Amino acid sequence: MRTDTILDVVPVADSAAARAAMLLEEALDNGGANDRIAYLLGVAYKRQGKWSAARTAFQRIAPPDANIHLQLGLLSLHERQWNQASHEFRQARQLDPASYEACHNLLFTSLTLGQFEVALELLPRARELAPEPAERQFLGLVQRLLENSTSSDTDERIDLELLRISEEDERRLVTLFRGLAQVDAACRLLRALATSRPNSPTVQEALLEATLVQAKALIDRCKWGAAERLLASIADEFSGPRPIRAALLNVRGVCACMNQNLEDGVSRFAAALKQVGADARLHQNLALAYEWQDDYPRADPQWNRYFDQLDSRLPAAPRQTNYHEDLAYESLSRWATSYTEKERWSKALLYVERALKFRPRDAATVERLFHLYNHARMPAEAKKALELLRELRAGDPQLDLFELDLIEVKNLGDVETIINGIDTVSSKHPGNPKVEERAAVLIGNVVPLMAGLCQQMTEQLSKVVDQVRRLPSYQVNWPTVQDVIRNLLREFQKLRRIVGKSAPLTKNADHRRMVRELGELIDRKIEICRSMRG
Amino acid sequence: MAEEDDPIVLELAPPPRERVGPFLLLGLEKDADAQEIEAHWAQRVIWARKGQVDVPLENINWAREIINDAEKRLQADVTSLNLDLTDRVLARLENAYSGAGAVTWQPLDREKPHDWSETRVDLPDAARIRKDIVVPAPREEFPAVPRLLAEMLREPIDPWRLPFDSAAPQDSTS
Repeated sequence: MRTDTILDVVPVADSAAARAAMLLEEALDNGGANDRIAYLLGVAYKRQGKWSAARTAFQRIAPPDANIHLQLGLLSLHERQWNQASHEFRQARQLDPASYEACHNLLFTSLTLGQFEVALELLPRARELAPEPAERQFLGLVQRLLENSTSSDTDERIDLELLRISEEDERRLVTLFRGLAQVDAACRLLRALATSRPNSPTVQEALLEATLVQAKALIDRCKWGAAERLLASIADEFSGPRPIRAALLNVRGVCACMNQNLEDGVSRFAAALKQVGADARLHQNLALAYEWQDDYPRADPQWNRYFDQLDSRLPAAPRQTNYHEDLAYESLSRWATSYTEKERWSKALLYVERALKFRPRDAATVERLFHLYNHARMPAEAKKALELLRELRAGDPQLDLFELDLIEVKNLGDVETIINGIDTVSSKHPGNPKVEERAAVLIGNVVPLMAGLCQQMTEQLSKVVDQVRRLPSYQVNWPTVQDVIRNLLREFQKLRRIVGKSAPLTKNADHRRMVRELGELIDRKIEICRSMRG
Repeated sequence: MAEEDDPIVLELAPPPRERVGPFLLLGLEKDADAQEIEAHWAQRVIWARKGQVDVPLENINWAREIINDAEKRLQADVTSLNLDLTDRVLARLENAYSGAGAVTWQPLDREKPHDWSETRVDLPDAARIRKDIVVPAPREEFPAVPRLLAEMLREPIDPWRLPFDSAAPQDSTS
């Protein structure tokens, strides 16, 4: 079969483009270089969307004519190589100045690149070449907008011609500007259009969208103030779709918070929430803004709504299983810590209990829960938590000390039990850092208790001494005084013994000093009791 | 003078980096992958060196370190503000306005008309090629033929008629 016969039967249409390309490749291989076949091959590949193969085929044609440059320019557009496309269309235009396609494509590629001056130069010629009157009119609108956007004089002036344009032209212009590769250029053109069409929702919405993206570019460079000012310039008069309004208010809220204007941030986030009803990310933003203001009562419900909506709709770090569960656990634990720092035990308990649901066998969380139950004076729950902890951390010597936490101190006997317990566990596990650490905490809790008991007994003793000194001897009920002094002496001696026992267990310097001073004070009181008894 | 009447806008110092968070510092979504993290970090390092970003290089490096640590990233996720909402409106808009999408104007195309008369390719004439092909004459002797014929005629082996020696010794293992 001859090659020209192959070409006669090759249907260069979209459906058969692949077969055509195959046959054309074969024809080129067998028939040597042929520009016509290379061109058809390029077209066949282009119709299949194989831009690179099409480019290779077109580049086989030497020297390329205007149409080849046009084709190469179109391929570059498909590959979003705007500069390369512009170069090709310019070449096509040089070779064929009467080509409307080359002029039109170069004009719009220049617009896409934000090269307004180039576009303005091309527009008169494009209007001359345009085959349809409607097209000529549209190009006229583009020219007016470009002139308005580049001239500072007409910034705020309404252009009557732009005011009268059809909805279709308006939509076409907005779509064109949305596709410009440079958002700054899009903003300038849309602002010029919006000035002349202030009542058009399509234009106003597009302007807001472009401004939001422009603000995002400023935020990317941490220019919060500039972004906030930019958004403030258009926000008030805008009434667009709710999601866009919510996005705008949210971005303004973030900018305000980053500018340390938390009050403003809170009001923006709250307004954004009114637009969308509920959104986990907005609740989180609002909760954080309240928290940074130290307004926990208002932050609390926002965190709760965030926890409730924490699911797969929220973004998750890639390649991490159970990210949302971990996030929920982390958020709940953190919020519980905030309450713990403020010694609001019941609130903290609430969130640790919720966190435990995500990690029911996590010993650290159970331990935390145990301490919180202790602080909240819930011994029964604390005991249950300790039982679970014993199951999870079998053989942990620290847990014996946790048992001592459950003792409610009412008298010296309870203090002695705690001190004896600490002594027993410490001797059983000498040098165990965890035991030593926990023992130090327990001693730290017990020392003030001993000091408090000593204070109570000292007050009783002072009262008796005061009465004995104040009253005449015959009015003193000496047998009762003797009884009281004997009892007090016994109590002081017992306390002295306990203090003596706790001294070697005390590692902290402050506690050691307190124990020493307490011991000396008790010794003095014992002396007084003895002298009184005599 | 108008300038004297303009209010003075005071901008406070930015909050500490822990409050800004690594996601805002690097301009990342909270589900950013390793490739995005590296790309955004590298871009911001360039900006920082050129003084085009209002944040010190140290904080940019800190943000990358935090985000690359799974545990710290999780904690940062909790304590960082979200620039976008759950339906990702801002990301969609950014994508639409970044020129990353398709061209929003209709490029004009004009392909050359198919003028088949122009297509001429010099191919060799098939009849002449056929004429030029020299077919070699077959050899008179084929040494393999007798052997092939002998093998074909040989009687096939029938396992039921194989001759066995009845005096042959039996299997010692039985």
